[in-house]
Amino acid sequence: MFGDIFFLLAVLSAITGSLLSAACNRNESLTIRVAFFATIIAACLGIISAFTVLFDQPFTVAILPTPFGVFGFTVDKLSAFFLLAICTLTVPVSIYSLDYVTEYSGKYSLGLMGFLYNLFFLSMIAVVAANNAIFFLICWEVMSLSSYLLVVYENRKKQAIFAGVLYVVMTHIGTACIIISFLIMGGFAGSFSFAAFQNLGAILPADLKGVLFVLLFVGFGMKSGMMPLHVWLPYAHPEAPSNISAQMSGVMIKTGIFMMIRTFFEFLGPTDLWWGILVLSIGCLSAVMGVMYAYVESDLKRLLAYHSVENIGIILIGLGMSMIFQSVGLSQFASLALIACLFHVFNHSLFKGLLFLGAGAILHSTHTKNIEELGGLVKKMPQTAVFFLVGCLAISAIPPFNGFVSEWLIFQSLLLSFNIAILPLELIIPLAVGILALTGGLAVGCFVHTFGITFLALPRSEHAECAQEAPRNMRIGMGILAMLCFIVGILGGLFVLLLDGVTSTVTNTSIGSLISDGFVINAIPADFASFSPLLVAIAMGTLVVGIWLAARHFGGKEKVEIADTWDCGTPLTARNEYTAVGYAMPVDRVFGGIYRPTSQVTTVNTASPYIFKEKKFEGKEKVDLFETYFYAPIAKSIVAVANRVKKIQSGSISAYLCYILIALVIVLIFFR
Amino acid sequence: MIQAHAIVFLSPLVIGIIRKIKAQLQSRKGASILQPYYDLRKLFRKDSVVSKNASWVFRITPYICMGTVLVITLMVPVFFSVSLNLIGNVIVLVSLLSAMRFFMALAALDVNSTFTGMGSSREMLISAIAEPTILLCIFTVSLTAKTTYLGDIARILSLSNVSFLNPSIYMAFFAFFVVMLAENARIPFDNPATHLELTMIHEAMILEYSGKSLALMEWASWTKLMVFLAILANMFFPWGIATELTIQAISTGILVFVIKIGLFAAAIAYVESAISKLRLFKVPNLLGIAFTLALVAVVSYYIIL
Repeated sequence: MFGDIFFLLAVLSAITGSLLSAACNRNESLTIRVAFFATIIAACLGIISAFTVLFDQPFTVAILPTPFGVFGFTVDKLSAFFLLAICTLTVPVSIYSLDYVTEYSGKYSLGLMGFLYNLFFLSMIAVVAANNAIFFLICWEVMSLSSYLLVVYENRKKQAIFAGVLYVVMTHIGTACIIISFLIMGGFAGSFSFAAFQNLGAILPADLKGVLFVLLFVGFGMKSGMMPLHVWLPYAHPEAPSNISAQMSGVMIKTGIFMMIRTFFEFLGPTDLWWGILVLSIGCLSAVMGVMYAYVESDLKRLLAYHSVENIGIILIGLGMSMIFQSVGLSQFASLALIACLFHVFNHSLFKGLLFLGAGAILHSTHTKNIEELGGLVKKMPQTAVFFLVGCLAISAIPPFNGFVSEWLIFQSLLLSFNIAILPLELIIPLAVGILALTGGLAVGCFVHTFGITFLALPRSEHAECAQEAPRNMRIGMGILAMLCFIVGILGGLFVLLLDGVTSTVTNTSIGSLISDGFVINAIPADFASFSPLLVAIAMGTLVVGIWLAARHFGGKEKVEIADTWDCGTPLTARNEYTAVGYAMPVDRVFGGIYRPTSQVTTVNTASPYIFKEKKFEGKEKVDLFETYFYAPIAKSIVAVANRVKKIQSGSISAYLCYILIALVIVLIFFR
Repeated sequence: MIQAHAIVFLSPLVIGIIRKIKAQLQSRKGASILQPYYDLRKLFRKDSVVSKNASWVFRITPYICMGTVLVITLMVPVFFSVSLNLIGNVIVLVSLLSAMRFFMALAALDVNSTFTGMGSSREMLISAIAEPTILLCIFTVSLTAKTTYLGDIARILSLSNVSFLNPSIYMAFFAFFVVMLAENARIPFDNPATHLELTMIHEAMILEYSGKSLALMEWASWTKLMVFLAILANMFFPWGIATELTIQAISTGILVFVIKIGLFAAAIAYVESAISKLRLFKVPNLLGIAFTLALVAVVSYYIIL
């Protein structure tokens, strides 16, 4: 009821916000308020609209009749779920931005920020709601371009420009794949409306379906940042302003997942077995490689960006399992895996948003994102530290926070694969279990060192020494997300029921009553596995407090003396602390085959009369394996081809006229 | 509940027994098997010293570790094949273990000591590599039992006779045994007897703790060892575990459990006396072998089936 009205109001509010903030560019504080309050209102309306659809009926609004069909919005349950995820993240991020963007005051145009921010939000909700392929592509392009402009917002930084170019090139390769496949599908369906694309799988020839699947997987995977198409992500996310990184990493990359679910299941379905296996394998690759690169990274935002790659991998594992189950006809398990996948999408948007906002708060007060220069912030920024810790616990899948609930479901969907008796799968899935476990283990280690090096012990630089607590609105923004991480975590059972309403429209199988009674989440059948997030939280809470009380009661009075750390006689300073690189070194050594660590050895002549030469070892920066062995050769060959082609561009007009003539003759020969 | 108590309160005894057997194997007389209890009592009464660099993370960690490990004990069957299924299955257990590790490693970074930082870094490496093996071992037994609750696995496996014949269970058992040594900081992965060696891991992490906090940290890790032993005893070889609530069954269950735990304690003591500690960068090789074993266990289950 009235979902359409709320949705249109949200769109209107975002448009007004973007135009007004561009208009009152001169008055900076007014711009900030107009821009972000408009987004907050729009996002709140979006949440209401999403809930009306989730609990009631889908709606369609027509906007504009065009030669390609009627452009408009259709919000069904799947769209509504993604709408909910986008808007839920946007509200706290916008509140946070109220204080965060004051940093740019006087340096960069705030009107531009407000305009682009609203446009970016608008394009994301339009992407999940568009009901026509051409309209979708327009929205998709607006989303890509507005996010590109936001990545290069700090346009006096060279790295930002580089990151922006990389992003815009990669994302357009993806868009090209999507355009091709939508044109083919439009040709078969006879219309570009998504309604006509439904169940296209029945009409399309099998080979073509496979080609379309690959094209769409590449196209949307590019946006999601899955390996090996992820290279833009670790450059673009760190360079964008932190509120934008939160949006991009939290929800923008998920629009790719949204379209994968839509196209693979609804347009091209029923899915083939090998599609699922491909998605699963790419998911495993992204998960484990993403976390490994994150482990050795010491740029806080780049580290988080690599974790986005990891989490997209985990989401793809869920999606892949769902497709595998669907293709062998076990639709109950397919629903379970899809619920796991969607749940992780939502959770990741919460905790990754939170972590990027936390990184932004650190950047705001210390002006560095290199964790080697941080430390001791838990005393300077106590509230930010708590929020960031919640984010770290959630992303490390530690109960009772939300990350664990979805990861538990993904593990169940992998374990339940014993119901499929197909030989290659019986080897692939145990491996996937191992990889997911390794990913989990490394993620825990990674966030221990991220939090530990950044917030604990002594400050390692003046920046960290002089840090101050983040301004109020920024803390409110982070606080809301931290609360949500906890609430969604303990009420996971209810959330699963909500998700069942979404997935049942995709897989046509509702498993709500089997999988959850609101408090206990079950696998299918329930005597295989179950888990009560609320009870775990209660048990942990009571026992921790109980132990504390018991230790006080039985242990007697304890005198706590504050003294130096045990230091072997030499006073310890921040230089004695473990560094991020040092912390990651064992992993670096053990997985040396992947990191290929290189160090530069230089020989230096010394002044000492006894030692003539001294060798200096300097570790070099880690290079992404795919950049070296996949992208570098491609780039090289493109440059080589371009150099060859350059020769025919002599610059003389007569030569060009000659080319035109030749081309004309050839065309005439072929198309007589 | 009684089973949970048994795990918590017997864990110092098991540690005492392991130490005693080790001492005997090394021709020493060794301390009384009750010594760990005396240690705990002494530590609980002592004052503690906290580093001036430490924050609240350092102070709450002992309580979180002990609290988490207590939740874990509720989920493990000991002599009666029942665990609190309502809380969750074995994956919840694994995640609670990582919660415990998370805070322990954070507290180690909190005090600005190089030793603790090093312990923390190494612990994270070893546990990350060990984690896939744990889950694959669990996968193997849950394939056989078609459930992932520890209590139910024990019941189903003890009532059927699969486990006598199935080689995958044996392989998973050995893989899990290796991982148990790694997770609980025993030789050849770590040396629990010392904390002033460059090889140290677990003992290094808790170096800065003293008094009541140290007692809690020690007790928590002893309990964790006991949890792993109980899983080893009941998941892979659940013979003799009580499946019904009669006095006879329960007393057999208790007797068998004591014998099994005694055997495992002896095995650990023997391994610790016979093998020297591995270099840190050799550790992944051993864990890699354990992982392969676990993978073969899963695959062989399918093949035999």
